[in-house]
Amino acid sequence: MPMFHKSKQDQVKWQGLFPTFLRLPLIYSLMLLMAFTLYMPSLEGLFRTIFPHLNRVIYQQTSFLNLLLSHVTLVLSSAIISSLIGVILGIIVTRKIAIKFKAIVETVAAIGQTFPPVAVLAIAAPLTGFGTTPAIIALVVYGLLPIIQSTITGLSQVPVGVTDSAKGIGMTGGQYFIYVELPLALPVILSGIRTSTIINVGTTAIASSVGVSTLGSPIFIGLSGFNNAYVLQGAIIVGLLAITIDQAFEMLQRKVIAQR
Amino acid sequence: MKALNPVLLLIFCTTILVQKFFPILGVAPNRMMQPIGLYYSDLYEYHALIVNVALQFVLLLSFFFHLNKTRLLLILLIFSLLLSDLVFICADFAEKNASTNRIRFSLSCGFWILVFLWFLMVIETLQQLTYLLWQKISLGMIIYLPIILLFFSNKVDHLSLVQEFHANEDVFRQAFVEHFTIVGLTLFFTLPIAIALGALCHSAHNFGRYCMQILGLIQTLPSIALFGLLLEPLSLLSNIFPFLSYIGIKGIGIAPAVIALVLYSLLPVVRSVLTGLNLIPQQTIDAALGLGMTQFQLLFQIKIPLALPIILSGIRIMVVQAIGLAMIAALIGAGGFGAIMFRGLANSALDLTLLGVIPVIILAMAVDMLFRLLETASLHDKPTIIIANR
Amino acid sequence: MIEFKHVNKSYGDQTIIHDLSLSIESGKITVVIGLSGSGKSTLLKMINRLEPFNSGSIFFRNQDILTYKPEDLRRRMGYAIQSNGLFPHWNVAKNIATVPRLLGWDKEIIDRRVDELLIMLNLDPVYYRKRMPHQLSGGQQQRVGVARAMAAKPEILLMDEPFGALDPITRKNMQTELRRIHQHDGKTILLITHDIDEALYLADHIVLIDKGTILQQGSPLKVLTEPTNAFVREFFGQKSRGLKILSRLPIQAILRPENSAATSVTIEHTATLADALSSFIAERTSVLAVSNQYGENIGHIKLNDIFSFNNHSIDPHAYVS
Repeated sequence: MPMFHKSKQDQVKWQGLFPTFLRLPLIYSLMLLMAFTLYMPSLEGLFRTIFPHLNRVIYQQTSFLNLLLSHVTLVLSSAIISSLIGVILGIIVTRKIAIKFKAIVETVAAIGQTFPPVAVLAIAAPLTGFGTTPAIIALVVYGLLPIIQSTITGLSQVPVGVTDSAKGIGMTGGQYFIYVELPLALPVILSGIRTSTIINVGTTAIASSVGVSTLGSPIFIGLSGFNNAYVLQGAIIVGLLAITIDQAFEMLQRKVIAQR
Repeated sequence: MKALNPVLLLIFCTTILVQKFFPILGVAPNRMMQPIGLYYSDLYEYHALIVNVALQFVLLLSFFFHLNKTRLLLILLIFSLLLSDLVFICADFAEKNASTNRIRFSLSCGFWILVFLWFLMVIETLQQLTYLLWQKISLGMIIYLPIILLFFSNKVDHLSLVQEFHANEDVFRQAFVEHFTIVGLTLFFTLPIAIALGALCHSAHNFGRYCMQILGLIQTLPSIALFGLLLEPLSLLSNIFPFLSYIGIKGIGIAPAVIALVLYSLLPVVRSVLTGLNLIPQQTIDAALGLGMTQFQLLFQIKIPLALPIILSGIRIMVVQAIGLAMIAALIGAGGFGAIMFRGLANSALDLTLLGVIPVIILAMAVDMLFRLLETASLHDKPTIIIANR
Repeated sequence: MIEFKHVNKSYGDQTIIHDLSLSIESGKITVVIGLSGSGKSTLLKMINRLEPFNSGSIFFRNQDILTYKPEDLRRRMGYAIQSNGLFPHWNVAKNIATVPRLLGWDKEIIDRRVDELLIMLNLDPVYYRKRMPHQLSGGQQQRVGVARAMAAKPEILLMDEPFGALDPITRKNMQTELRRIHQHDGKTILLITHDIDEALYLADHIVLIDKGTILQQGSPLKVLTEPTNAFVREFFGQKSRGLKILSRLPIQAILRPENSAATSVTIEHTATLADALSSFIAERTSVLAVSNQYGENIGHIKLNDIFSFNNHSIDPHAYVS
């Protein structure tokens, strides 16, 4: 259904001035992120002036690039796993055979989100040992909840008229699902995945406290060593990472909505 | 024979599996060594076990039948019995086998999983019993009353968790005060700013758009990043203006925590104020103005009462979020239950970690339920604004 | 009571109201009718200052409305709208009592007034006082809306398509109610509608507006019998104009006081000539007996009289009901 003719007309006016991709904030946040990640050591002079009392000003134990990669790997892998499980669970629970489970699953997802994500991390660590394992478990488990919630909401919101007309045309259940339900639910599901992933970025940073090497490591080391420069560096990069990922999702969501 | 209650049946079967395969109580000769797991059947004496199993069997059967209100209430009673019995048995076992030296009885994962699963079943049963939130909450509290009483008695004193609590009681109390202060201060500063901002965004659309974008940006920042970003500016500030340091605004401690928390808390509340005000139909406002209300009267007599349920839900989300974020604030020296949790984490002491985590969870859930009750109460019989109930 | 003097309103480069001058008399029902977008709602909203205007002036009781404080002005005017705009969180009594409470009336006086209004609108006070708006049907909600508009005994009642959202039967009932209230109170009413039949039924003075200007105004019969241009004629329906004219004439015009044995079908004395014509045709008769409100026979009418009535040089204004 073409719904955005007008805005495309407006865009034509602007396209002469900027190529499309350059107008997105995603490009700028990505550039800032990579700039800080790769060239942080070159800012040593700047940090020395801000923190004249510190001996070591730039976090040197691991390169920021490695930290970034490790962080991103964790976030991405947990996001993929929890998205798959969450969406599938959400789909199952909105089907007729399992509809009785919907209420309790929704309730668990709602209650679970009142827990602070740190708590899940803290409980997982002693059980499975320290390292990446508890982090991934906590990230997946906690990340499931918003995704399940949004999948259920998205799939339950198909307007009645659409359902009736689809049945009237003679669609089978499967076709109805693929061509009607899923596309209509996609924006909501996507926003749930977005929320979950952004939270995960923060939780992964905290996972440094259980021995995982992430962008939170400079922050933690800085905090325990009273080195605010480290803290600042870690905070800047992880903040930029979160913004970049958020912008990427924003772009994705716009594309999905425009295609309807 | 089709199960009329597949949910309860499924959860129940899981509990049976847990009882069989997961240890309930861990016994360790001292702090250092790994605990040996004791299973459900190990804890009970013979006849008690028979009764317990019989009760559970009755439960199992009931899930195949239609459950009216009386039967549901009976089931809830059985849950309460089973749950309190479990706690009692663990406490009793610990008490009986405690000796003078440092045998530690710790509640194992089986215990917690069982508690969680029974909790789920209670919720599901309550859901089938009634629609009214206050009824659900009251019944829930009645069910958990025996356990709470048990915890306040001396019976449980031999469980390692409780021992840890008693050993750290003053720390615990201080953490409670600190946590409460952080969340309280956040609420105190957020509410007026957020409500004013929300009203402003509602009347000025362009400002509203930019405002929401900025707040959304803040929200995407990881909490620890925001804490970290505030540390240096605040400590610089307190160096330049020493009196700030005197009143407590330093680089570390409560100040950066509260500031960051306020920034995080703005979005949910502003968004809910905006939504609540936007949902009021224009005709209602026209009618009010046309009858002769001033803007002031319109705001207080019409707009706020009609928007209140949604605003309350925004505040609910905000407070629960703040309670959770305050745990992380412990890292920058603000104290609170997070401090206990991180200390437990650092020392690999699960009990200490739990001591930090459990109060926060209970607090978050209690606040959540309280606000949901307030929302239902403020609904004023208004069918146009529907809030999903738990 | 209300005077528009060369009022203009534009929004951007669109003129909504163009050089409009209008006089609204006290004690009469004035109906402003027009197509959607003709500016009729805007006209009403300019009176109670819900809509601003660019130039010209509007006078309320010979005083420029801009010199009043908006709230004071509005509290002297009743305002009822199509979607009734009842406050969903207040019960019926509190809704009706809105303006009296704003004016600071005593509680007992307010309570009495609320009951009085509910009775006037055929709603049992005991039952309806405590009801919440969402528990009422559309017709009941609209009645409460009208009651609320009248609560503080305003000098004029402004009604913006008040019956538009109702089903035809309820709408007819409400129109009859409004006429009855007007006859009882003598209140000045300004009513906006797009329903021609409603306008013709209710109006003492009808104003036809299109694209922000007044095309014609006058009594309904005058507008029907002497349209100033083709648009007006078209608007009131070329083909059914005759019937509409008949609907404004009472059967008193052709009533013969003697009883006639030629018929057993009766028609009520409150019927119009249009009703009579309809009955003549439906009952396949040329004579109808007329009964009064007690059911007694007071005379009869004949079909031929309608045609001879039309042929005579009639003065339509003599029979304005």
